[in-house]
Amino acid sequence: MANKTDPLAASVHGTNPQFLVEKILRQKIYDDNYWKEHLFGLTAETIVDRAMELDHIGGTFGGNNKPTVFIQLVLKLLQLQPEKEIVLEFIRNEEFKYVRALGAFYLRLTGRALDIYQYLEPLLNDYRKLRVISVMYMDVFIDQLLRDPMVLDVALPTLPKRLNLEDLKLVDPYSSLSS
Amino acid sequence: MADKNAAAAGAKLQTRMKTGMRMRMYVDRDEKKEMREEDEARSSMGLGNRKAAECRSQEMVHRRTWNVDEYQRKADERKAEEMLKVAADPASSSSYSGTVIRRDALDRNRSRDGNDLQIDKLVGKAIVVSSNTPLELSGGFYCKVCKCSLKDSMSWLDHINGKKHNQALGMNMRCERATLEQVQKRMREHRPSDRKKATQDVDDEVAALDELDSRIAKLREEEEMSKEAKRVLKRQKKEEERAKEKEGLDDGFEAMMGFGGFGGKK
Repeated sequence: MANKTDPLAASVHGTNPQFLVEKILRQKIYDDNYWKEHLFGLTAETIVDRAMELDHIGGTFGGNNKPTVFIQLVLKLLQLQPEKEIVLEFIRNEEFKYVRALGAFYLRLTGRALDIYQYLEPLLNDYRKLRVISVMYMDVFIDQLLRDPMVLDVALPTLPKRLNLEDLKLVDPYSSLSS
Repeated sequence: MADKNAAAAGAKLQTRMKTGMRMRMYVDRDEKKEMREEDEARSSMGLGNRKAAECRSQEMVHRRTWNVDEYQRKADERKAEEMLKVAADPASSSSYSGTVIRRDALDRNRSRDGNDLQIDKLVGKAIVVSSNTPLELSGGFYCKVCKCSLKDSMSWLDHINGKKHNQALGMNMRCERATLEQVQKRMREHRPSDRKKATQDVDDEVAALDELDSRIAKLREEEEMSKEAKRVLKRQKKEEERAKEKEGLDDGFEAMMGFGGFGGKK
């Protein structure tokens, strides 16, 4: 298994799902101690334990651009390709905000546009703090996911603009969910 | 065109001779003509189906053909023999026999079991090693299953996670997939209190630092205040002293002696 994508996994955005993380970062993660020691042979169930231990979000850090545990877990999820229900389970988790952030990041990378807007927009109401290089807030993080082309050293797949989807009547016109 | 071909044929002969292949030295005229015609036919093959068909039909192209049915028969016979051999003695199966080895799904606990993945076990220890010491006592990491030793933790992990080792333990490299119920159950098992405990030390540190900051600020304030108070006292004292000095001498002195007093007038 070590680094191969699950053979049952479908291609995402036209490629091997692991390729959504760029080659250099991907290679750094494969060579990382944490990946080899703790993330080998995980399933969607056992990855929950690792996700629960998260206390930060982040891409790479330091002069050497060492990958964070968060981004390694993202790559692990890409390798496993859990079903959509499991990803939503991660996002729905209210108690552990970093588990939620992990699920949100994974959904943004692999989900369809409609799913992304449908499941990430409610998270804009989550105002809890997240620990990053500098401190961030969950709703700021989600806003970045919905707008920025690159978040946490990963180039995000292009997301169709909400206006276009609204014109196609695929999605309701935007109304802020905050009361 | 004919001349060119003849020249080409001649040149071909020459090159063959140069490379040291065994070739007849002399080619008689009829054979030369044949070779020329062959060459033409070959080059005309790309000219279109009709021309190519013409060439082919004219038996100008001498290509080797095989009797497909004959060889198919031979292959079937060989396969039947192999099957008999395997039926008689299963251990003699080769990769052609088509048996599939079923291994268990990857279980990470098993790949680490029996080897005690203690990466820090020998940190700080010095081991004396001679040519006679067995591998397992020669420092580094030793895998009992594969009977191999590795010198650094990275390659050790690569070995433990690797195909050879896991297949030796009877597993293939694919994990079982988890179901939604399993994931939900796992999530319920983690309670927020447990997690608070996990990050407790970090939160405590942050809280302690905040406290420290506020205490430092308070101390600084107090210092400032005491300094102020001291300054005020000093000023008062000085004023008192000056006032005292001025009063020290009687008024009479000034008139009598002609000078104001013994204190410096600076």
